[in-house]
Amino acid sequence: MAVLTGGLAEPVRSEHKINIVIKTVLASQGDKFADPRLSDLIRELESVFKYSSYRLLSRNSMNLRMKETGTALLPEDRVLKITLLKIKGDRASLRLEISKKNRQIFQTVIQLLNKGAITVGGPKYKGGYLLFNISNSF
Amino acid sequence: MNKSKCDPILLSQFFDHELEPEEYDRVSEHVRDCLSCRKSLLDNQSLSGFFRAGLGKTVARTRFDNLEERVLSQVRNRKPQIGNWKFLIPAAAMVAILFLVFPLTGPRVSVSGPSAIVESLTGDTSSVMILETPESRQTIIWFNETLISEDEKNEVQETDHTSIIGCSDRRAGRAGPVRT
Repeated sequence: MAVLTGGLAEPVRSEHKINIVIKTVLASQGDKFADPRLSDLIRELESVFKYSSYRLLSRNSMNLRMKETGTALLPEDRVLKITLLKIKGDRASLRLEISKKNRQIFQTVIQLLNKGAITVGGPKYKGGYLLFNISNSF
Repeated sequence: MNKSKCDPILLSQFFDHELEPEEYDRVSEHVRDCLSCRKSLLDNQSLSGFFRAGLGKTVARTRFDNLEERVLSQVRNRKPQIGNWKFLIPAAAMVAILFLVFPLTGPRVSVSGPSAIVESLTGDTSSVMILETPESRQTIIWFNETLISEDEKNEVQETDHTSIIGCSDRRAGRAGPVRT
């Protein structure tokens, strides 16, 4: 019976650390280009957007413990700070902060599914838009 | 076998030379006088000749060199046949148990909810949209980086969302994501 109840409510985990990967993508219209390293992500994005070009600009990864903050440098002096707030069940609670030239532009708190991803986008860059795909696993 | 009675068993043994000499002579004498038995005997002879000829042709066509190796090769290449129910029933039961147990205990990749639930959203951005991809429900937050003025900043800054696609656009008509 213990086996069958394994998937039920789990306590809040405090000892875990999670791995986070941030992919910075430039989406634009014009030339058609699909970065092969982004094939899965592009399939998702194409169901919502109609950009013709998706280029991977950079890839950052970090391991965070509880309450720890990691930083990723983004184009044009932007900085993405990610803080692990808690892990409950199959979701990690994360605070994402994007700032530009020391001014905070955007802050959100999300509950991200284990092995799931969120894409934050919007800043204009080189004739297109920047997308930050943030995935986690724990 | 006398002259008046025909015995097919004796005739068959006669044909195969299985009779004792005395009996053989008697059947031979009967066959000489009996048209029916003579005909049966001729039929047997022609049938036997047909099979012998076929066997001879087959033997003539057979290559006996490396025969053992060829037979062994065919046996090795033959796929094992699973037809034993003593094996199949426990195996099917095990597969069924695995299907029942692993959705509960194995690594779960849920598709029942969005990839991310947005608890709160603050910032100096002029507009924010929360989207969800239709297939795997991947959450997308799209914000307009254009900073708002201090006056606009005094307006509501915090937007709470759960998992529903939402939109907070303080400057209608501003550039956003290109929707299909």
